[in-house]
Amino acid sequence: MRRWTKVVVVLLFVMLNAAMAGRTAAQWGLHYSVVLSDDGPEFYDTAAVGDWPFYYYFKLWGEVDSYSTSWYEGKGTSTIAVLAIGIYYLDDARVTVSNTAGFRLHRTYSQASFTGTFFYPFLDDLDGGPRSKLTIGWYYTRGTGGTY
Amino acid sequence: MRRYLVIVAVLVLLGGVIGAAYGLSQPPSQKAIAASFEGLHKYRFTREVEFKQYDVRIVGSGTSKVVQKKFLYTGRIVTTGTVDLVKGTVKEHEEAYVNGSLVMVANAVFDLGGGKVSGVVTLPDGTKKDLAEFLRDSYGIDEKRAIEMLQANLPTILLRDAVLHSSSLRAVSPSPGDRIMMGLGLKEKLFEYRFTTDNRMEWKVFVDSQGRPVKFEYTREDAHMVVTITPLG
Repeated sequence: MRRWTKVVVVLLFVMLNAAMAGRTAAQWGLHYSVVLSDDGPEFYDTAAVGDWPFYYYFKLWGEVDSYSTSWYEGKGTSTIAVLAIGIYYLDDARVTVSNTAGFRLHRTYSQASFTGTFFYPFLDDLDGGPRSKLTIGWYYTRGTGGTY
Repeated sequence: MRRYLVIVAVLVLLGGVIGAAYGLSQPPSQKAIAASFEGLHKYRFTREVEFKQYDVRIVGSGTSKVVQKKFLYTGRIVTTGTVDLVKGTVKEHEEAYVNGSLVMVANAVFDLGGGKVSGVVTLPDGTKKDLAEFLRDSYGIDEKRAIEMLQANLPTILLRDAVLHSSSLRAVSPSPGDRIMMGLGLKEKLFEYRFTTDNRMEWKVFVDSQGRPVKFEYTREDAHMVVTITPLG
C-alpha cells in the first residue's frame, strides 16, 4: 500500500513538472459553468448554450409562497461538448434561495435536472414580504462529475 | 547420446532466451516513470470520446414532480493534436459526429503564452466560422477562458487530475506469457496501471518500458474516452 502511495506522489510530481514546463502554468479548479438567477416571488430564467447539434438548454423555475410549500426546479444537461476545447461533465448543480431579510437556503445536486421544495417562513414578495431571489448554477469539469 | 545433448542444448538455449525475454520486460521503475514524464513537453495525441446525450425532463406540476431521462443521441468527438509546451502552442484537428454522421470539423491553434485562439469551424454544408467567435457566441467563452479550458484538458493535465481524484492506483502485472512475448519483441512493451476516481470512473493507463504514458482510457456509464500519446523530440 505504501509503495503505491509513493507511486501516486511521484506521478503527481512528474505530471506537475510536465504541466508547469514551458511558459504557462496550469490552472486549477477550472470549470465551465452556467448560472441563472431571478427575483421572486415567481422565478423564471432560461439559457441556451452551444450550437446545433451540441445545443444545451437550461431552465430555472420556481416560486416562494409564504408559509406553505415553496418549490424550485432546474433543468440542465449532463455533458457539454465544446468543439476544440473538450467535453465537460456535470460536477454539481447548486441552488440558492435568499431574501433581503437574511433568509438563505443552499442545496447541491449531482444531477443536472432536479426539483426541490422548501418551507419559506415569510410573506411572499407581493404580499409585502422581503424580496426573494433564486440562483441556480451548473458547474462542469473535465473528467470528474456526477450523473445525468 | 549426441541427439539428447542437442535437445538439452536447445532446451537450455530456449530457456535462456525466454528467461532473458522475461527479465527484459519488467514494468518500469518509479524512477523511469519520473524521468520520462519530466521530458514530456512535446507530444502528439489522439483523443476519442464517445458519449450519450440525454434530455432530462421534469414532469408534473406544483410540488409533485418527477425527473425523466430521455436518450437523444450518441456523440463522438475525435481529436488529433500536437502539444509543444516549450513554445506554448497546441494545434488540433477535431471532428464531431452525431449518431455516426459528421456534423462539424474544427482546426485550431492555441497560443498559450500569447493567449490567442485561432482557427476555423466548418459545418457539413461548407459554412465556416471563426473559432474564437464561435466559442464566444455559442458558449460565452472568451479567448482567455478558452486557453484556460484547453490547458485543463491537455492529456498530461487530464491524467494528473484524474490521479489526483483517485486513491487506488495499482499496476496490472502482465501475464508471464505476455512478458516473454514482449521480451522477444513479438508484442509491444506496455505496462498497465488502473485506478478508479472518486466518482467511480475507471481509468486505465499504459506506459512503455521507459515509463512514458502512451495510452490511457476511461469508462463511465455514459461515456468512453481513449487517448494515445506519441512523444516528440
